[in-house]
Amino acid sequence: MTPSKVNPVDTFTLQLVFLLSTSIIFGTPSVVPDSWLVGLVAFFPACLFIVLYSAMLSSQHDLGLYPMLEKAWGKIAGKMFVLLYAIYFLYIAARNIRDMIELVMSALLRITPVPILTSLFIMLIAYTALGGIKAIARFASLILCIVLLMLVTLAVFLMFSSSIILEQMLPFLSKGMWPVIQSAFTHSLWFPYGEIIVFLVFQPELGGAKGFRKITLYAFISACIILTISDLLQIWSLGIESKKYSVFALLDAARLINIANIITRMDAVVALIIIFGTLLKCSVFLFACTEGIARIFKVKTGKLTFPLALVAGAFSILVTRNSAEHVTEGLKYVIYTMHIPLQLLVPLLTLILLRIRYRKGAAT
Amino acid sequence: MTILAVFVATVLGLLLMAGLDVLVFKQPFVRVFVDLLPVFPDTSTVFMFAAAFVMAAWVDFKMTDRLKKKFGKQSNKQGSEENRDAKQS
Repeated sequence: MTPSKVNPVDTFTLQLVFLLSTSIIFGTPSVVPDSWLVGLVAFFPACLFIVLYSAMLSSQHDLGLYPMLEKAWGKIAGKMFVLLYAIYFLYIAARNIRDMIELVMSALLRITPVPILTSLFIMLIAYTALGGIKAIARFASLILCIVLLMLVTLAVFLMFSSSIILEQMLPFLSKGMWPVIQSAFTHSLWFPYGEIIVFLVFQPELGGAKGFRKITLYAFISACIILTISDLLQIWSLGIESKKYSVFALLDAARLINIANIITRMDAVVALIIIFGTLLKCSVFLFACTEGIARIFKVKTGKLTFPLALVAGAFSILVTRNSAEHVTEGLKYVIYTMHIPLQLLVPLLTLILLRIRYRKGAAT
Repeated sequence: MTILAVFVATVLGLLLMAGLDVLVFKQPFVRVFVDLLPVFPDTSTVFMFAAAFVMAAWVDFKMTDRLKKKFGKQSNKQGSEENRDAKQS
């Protein structure tokens, strides 16, 4: 029996919220002065991910990532890769939970113990993941409306509180175009665009190669525009130097809002954006992880959701000792040791293997 | 099998995090791994791991079914079976 497909609009909103969630808060890493350009530049090579992943899907008649790995690499090596991807998704979920906890701790609940916050949040994530990808996708439409509404509100309030100074984005390209291109290839390409690989796991439910190509392209374009506007808002309100040293730049920008001493402290709105976004992103990663582990150990996915959510919660506490280490590890080491191999190299090798082993008319 | 799955995920996840910490702190793997392990003063993560394994064990040993069998209402079940028999006849 073929599984029923998710509505394309829901798939689009799911991918868009997924791309926006944590990256909107951290913004583009401010390793170069013109960080808002980095997102735009990263979009073009990011489209190669769409080409690569849709080529994988179309070569195997829209099979999901896990069966595809097993088909390409054989039973034993394939299972090892499935396990590797499942652990990778669990680790990324843990990092995202930590992102959210760091922000909530600094903006909203300063003296609430971290384990209590984490436990409550992971219960929500597990409950969302338990509904399956269709439920998560339907939930995404609601979240997208909330996130966009809050972002627009934030922009309007920043404008009315005279916090937006367009000259703050100058000097433009003071160090030339090369650092921008370099930053796009070393950071923004892998996070958030490369993380779209997780959707290969659910392709039988999401519509296959044709749908993936079109919907993901639209999601990438929308995410690129929204992230660039968000980066510009941060630079216009904080300035290039302040943005560089701010961990949560959008949060700091929201703190500047003051309309006649009546509308102030809008940072809670930003915290809500990340709470909703992270909830969805972590649910997607957790569901992908449970699918992988359930496939290897031949258990039902529902049975693994809550235990693995608790493990992800514990990992989020253990993953780094402080905020500085968390950011350094995420920007430098995770990209080179995990994102590049698992988002590009392994899929590329898998595609080559699939093309060799399952040539048209060739018996395997 | 659920317990085994959770155990494997936990161990591999810890190894992965230790591997990354080796790169960040430039320290030997064993030292980093021991630092990472949830031990006594850091009880919160110990409780979370324990809860994960308890949940996995609950599912594996079908505790809900066992408790239902022991304490659940049996009259309804019998009733439904009787009805099914009557329908079949």
